Amino acid sequence: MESKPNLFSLLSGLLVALGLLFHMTTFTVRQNEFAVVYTFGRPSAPKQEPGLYAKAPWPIQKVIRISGAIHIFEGTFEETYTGDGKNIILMAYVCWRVEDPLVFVRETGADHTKAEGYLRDLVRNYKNGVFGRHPLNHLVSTNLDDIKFDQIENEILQPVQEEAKKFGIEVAQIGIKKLALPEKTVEVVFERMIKERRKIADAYEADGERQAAEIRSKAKKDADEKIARATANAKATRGQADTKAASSYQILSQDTELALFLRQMEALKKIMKDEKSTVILTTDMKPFTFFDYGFTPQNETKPNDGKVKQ
Amino acid sequence: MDQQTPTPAEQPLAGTSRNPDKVALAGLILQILLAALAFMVYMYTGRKEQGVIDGSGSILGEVFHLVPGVVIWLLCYLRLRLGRLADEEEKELESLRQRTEGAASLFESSQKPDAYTAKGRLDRLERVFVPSMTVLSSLGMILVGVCILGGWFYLASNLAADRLAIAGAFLLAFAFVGFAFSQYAIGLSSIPEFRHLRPAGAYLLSNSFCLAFCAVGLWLLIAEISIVETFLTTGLPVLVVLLGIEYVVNFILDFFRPRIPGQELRPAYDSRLFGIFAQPGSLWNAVADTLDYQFGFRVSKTWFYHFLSRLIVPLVALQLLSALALTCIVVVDYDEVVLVERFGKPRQDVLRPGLHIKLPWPIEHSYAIPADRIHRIQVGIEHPKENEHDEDAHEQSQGHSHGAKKKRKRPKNVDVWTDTSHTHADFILLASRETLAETSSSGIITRPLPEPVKDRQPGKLGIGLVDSVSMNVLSVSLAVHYKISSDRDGLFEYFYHQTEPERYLYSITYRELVQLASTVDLHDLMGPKRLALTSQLRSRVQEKARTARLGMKIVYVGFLEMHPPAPIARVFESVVEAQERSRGKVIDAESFSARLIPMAETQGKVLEDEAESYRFQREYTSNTVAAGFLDRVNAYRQGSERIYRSRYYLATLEEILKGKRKLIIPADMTEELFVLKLEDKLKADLLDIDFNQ
Repeated sequence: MESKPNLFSLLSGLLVALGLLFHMTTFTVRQNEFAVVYTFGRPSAPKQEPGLYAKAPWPIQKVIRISGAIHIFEGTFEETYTGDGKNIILMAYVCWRVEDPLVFVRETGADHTKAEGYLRDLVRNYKNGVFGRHPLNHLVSTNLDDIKFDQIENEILQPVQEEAKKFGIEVAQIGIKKLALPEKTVEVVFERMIKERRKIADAYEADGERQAAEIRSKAKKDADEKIARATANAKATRGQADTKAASSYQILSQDTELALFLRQMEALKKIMKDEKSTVILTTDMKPFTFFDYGFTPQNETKPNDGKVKQ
Repeated sequence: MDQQTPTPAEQPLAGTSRNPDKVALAGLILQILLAALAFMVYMYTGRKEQGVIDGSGSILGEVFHLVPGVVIWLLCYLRLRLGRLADEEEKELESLRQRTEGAASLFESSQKPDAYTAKGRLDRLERVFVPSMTVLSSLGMILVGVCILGGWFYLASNLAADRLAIAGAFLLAFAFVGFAFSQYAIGLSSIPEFRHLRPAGAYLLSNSFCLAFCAVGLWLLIAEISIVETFLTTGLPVLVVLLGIEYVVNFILDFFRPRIPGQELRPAYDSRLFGIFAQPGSLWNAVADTLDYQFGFRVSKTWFYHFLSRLIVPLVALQLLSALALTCIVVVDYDEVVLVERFGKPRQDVLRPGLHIKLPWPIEHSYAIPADRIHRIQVGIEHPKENEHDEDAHEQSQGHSHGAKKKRKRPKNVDVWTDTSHTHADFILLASRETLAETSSSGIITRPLPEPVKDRQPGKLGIGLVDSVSMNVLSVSLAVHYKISSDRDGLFEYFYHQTEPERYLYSITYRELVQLASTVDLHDLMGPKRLALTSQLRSRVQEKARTARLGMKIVYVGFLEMHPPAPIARVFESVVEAQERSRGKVIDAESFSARLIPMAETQGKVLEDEAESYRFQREYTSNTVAAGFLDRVNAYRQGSERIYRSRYYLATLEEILKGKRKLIIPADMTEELFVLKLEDKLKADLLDIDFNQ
């Protein structure tokens, strides 16, 4: 009963000791990774082939492992000056990897943050320098021939690549990630864009007014035409009626005297229609001659037909 | 455990002349010193940066482990001191009782200890002060531990590598001092009057071990082995939290413990966990004593306890072996693939969905990659609403009844241009092909301004429109859907070729978006060319991703938001309003036309109808007059013409003079002057009344 825990403790201790020994005397190199073995501070050739390697325990040998994969970071989003004197704010991203692990460890202490700090300095300097040689339309233009994005990036990349070799770093790519204008400039751009839009809005409104005026004018013209045509038709109709009436009145010429007499009587009827009229008559008018002479044959000799005073 | 009967092992130390409270006071001072010194070592291990020193995480954790020990030593000291004073009081009372024998009734007034005596104060200390202080300390320990684990205390460590060796040496020295004193206190605790030193001694022992581990961790850091430091950085706060929980549990369990007469109370701060290591005897004896104390009977004598104590070691071993065996099994889910590395070297095969076997850790490692699933990144302006859609949907599904009572506001999932949440730095810069709006019979047309002058010399400033670069700004966000290549080469590229493939893709996409936008006009991008440009952008991103060996396949690229920035969005909207107003004016004119033309037609028709009516009337009248005249001529000619005329004349007079006022004047009164008042009366009077009516 008492030996079992002891055996277990022994085995456990042995396993832990073996594990620690294994850990201290071996190291692994992963895919796309460098391992530099330092023997009392002196480095050996970096190991890049993935697998398990043996080493002497610390403090005889120590291993520094460095990723060979591409790292990416963004530079500062800063204002710069273009070749044609325009201010612009831009940000670049940088892709880099360790090319020479020995140099990298020596120069940066295998500290990626420190390495990125160095690269940031380089990129900042060359980026501003290169942009100072290019006008703004190499970055922003509707004319595709003007655009020189790739060329600008390459112009920044080449000197940065050269400088970065000193740190054992290969810069794989530098890309322009963000372009912007200073805040005050953006406000002016806003103003211009507003004016542009107002111009279009005004054009739309003016076009609407034009169309409306055209429609109204055409409508008036059409209306006037229709009325004029109808008026002409009406006049023609009236003329025809008058002509026909005139031909009917030809019959009156058979006895002109009678016709005029009848017309006179008819006119009298029309004129004397007013009930409130006061008619002044003289006694020499038939049939009022009786007021002077009574009924004598003489009365009939002096007829006064049609003499009515009103 | 019955604390009243010391074991034989305790006998040699019995009879020591030391005061237990003085030992506790020494322990208290030592604990304070250790905590302060450990904090100083923590400061020593860090570098000062921006006025802040961030040393070793493990040492800071140990400082928080040392501080509660001060409280435990303090409680221990108070209890021992009051206990000693109570004993002295008891002895004095006993001697007084012997001297005044016969007057016993004077000292038998009460069984309850007097509050002003040391015994009374000890009683209050054990019943009130110790539990409340223990619970308060425990809650503090839990809070501090959780804060550390939650990352609210730790800043990024900025260790001074050249000081680690010295710091480790100091820590080891502290550990040694603490260990020696704790062993001394634990040893003394076997004497009955020193027994209360055990909890504090056990706590100090744990501090000693942890300080030693911290020292080892610092030294291993020099050898580039950070596992111990990393483990302690997390493990020590966990230990502090566990201790706090244990003290609270001890406090609660004490209410449910059977009270056995003569059994001494074990305070809540007496850690059962540390007691296992501090208590004399084997580990299992300590466990048995703890269980016996809690349950009030000899649990350690039951068959189940013996059965469990025999099996516990094999069970733990089996558990560890099982855990190791489990690392041989790889279950690949339906939407992922797994890469396996053997000592860092990738295996040739890629594990597809299903059950797989691999060599155990640490020989082989497996890495699951979600390859068969679509991933999404968003480029450009980011909108908080993107994350609120689900919430909105949930809110909307809760019904509208209560929502109707609230102030009406725009739903969150409605995206309008006038949202103001972005700065000038978020806008994408676009080229501007400034347009001139012209109107034509077919509506508004735009024409570009003249092309800029080509072959301009860099740096040469020009004056005038053609030399200036006109720009627009736009708020744009882009969604990119991608899949990780599931073939081996693609997976290797994704997993090994770069450290942050998603970030790389994000930067590439942003770059392509910026470049594309810088060559197109706002109206093209927002208008007719939008889909074509989206397709172009997708091709460019895919090509760049391929060149960069990201191991990704771009499934979709599409614009999410694309609109003018909020400050000018209103003006863009006003163009639509202008269009609508323009259309309104045209409609008004059409409406006017629609009214005017029929009116004109009607008026024309009226004129024509009147003319027709006139014609009819004229013709009819003339015909009638002609026909009537013919009849009259016949009548006139057939009879006496004079009679006809006279008759006709008189008949006409009868007709026209009927009912009219008539004045008949003699024909021969030609010299007379008649004055006739013929006007009508304006006002009627009584004389005008017609009584006949």
